[in-house]
Amino acid sequence: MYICLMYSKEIVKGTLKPIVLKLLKEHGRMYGYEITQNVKALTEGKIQITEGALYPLLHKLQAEGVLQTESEKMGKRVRKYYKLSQSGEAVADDLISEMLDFMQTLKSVLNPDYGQA
Amino acid sequence: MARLEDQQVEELHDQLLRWGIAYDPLRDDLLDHLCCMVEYEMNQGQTFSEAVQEALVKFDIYQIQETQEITLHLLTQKQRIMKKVAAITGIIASALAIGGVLFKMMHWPGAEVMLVLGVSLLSVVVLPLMGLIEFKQSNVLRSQYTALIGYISGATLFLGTLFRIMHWPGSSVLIVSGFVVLTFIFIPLYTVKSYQNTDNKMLAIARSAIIISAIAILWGLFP
Repeated sequence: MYICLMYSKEIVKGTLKPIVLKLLKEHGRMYGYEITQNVKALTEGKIQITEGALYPLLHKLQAEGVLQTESEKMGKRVRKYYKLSQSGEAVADDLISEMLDFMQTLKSVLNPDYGQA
Repeated sequence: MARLEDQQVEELHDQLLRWGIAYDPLRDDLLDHLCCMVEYEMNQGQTFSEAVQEALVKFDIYQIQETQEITLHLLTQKQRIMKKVAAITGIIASALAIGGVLFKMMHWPGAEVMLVLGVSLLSVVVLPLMGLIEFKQSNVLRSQYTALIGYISGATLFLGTLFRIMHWPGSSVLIVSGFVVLTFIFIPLYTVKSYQNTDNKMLAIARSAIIISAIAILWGLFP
């Protein structure tokens, strides 16, 4: 699903959702290509999201009411901007803090100084 | 900054169609994505056709088709579950209702429990759920409401008949309101819909007339 230059699939799996929600929280509204480019830039190319992973997630989150879309016509094409809905803000906050907490926990296990976060 | 011409955008759109990307909301996303990729390559100094070649290497067809499958699968997951629940409960409830009538005719014990359970399940769970499924499947507002009204008035009639069989109070209110909604709201909506959607207009009128006559006969049975 991802094209990962640095990390194995198993590790990156499950991080796409918090990454996308965090980006939308910071930027307000974004279109798909913009999201992939932002992730690539922020992670210095270490994580690259493919359209095959991104769009199913965006459509699912939209169906769940986490995201809303705004379409803008650009000649023959339509640019669809995704943004957090009102209830989506809370979902994003919860997931981001859960992920941060998880990373902290993981650190305490995997640290060279085993057991000290 | 390069910006694709309308004709170039159409070319990419046709490519997506040839690949079988039929789901409109996803095709809009993918078209814009592909256009952005091509524009990026063109900004690096490539011509349109070189840029398309380059973009298509990164944007391979199998992944795109998989994207559509995954998207549709995720989006229809809830509906598939709803359909399954409606189908299974529908079969069980119908069996209970038919069994209940049979038991009642034969004066066997348990008839009333089966009837109450079967008909309540049909009118409270199965029919509203089926109405909801059809409501979600259609994009046309009028057919959505036609389906919902049809199923709900059907459910009311079922419930009214159950009340009548069990000699519970309020059966007349349920039956009459079910019939009124069915006759004066559902039938006109249904007639217009089938008249517009069919090639054989006479058949559409005949179909509605038969339904109206069936309702008239039933109406005569339930004074």
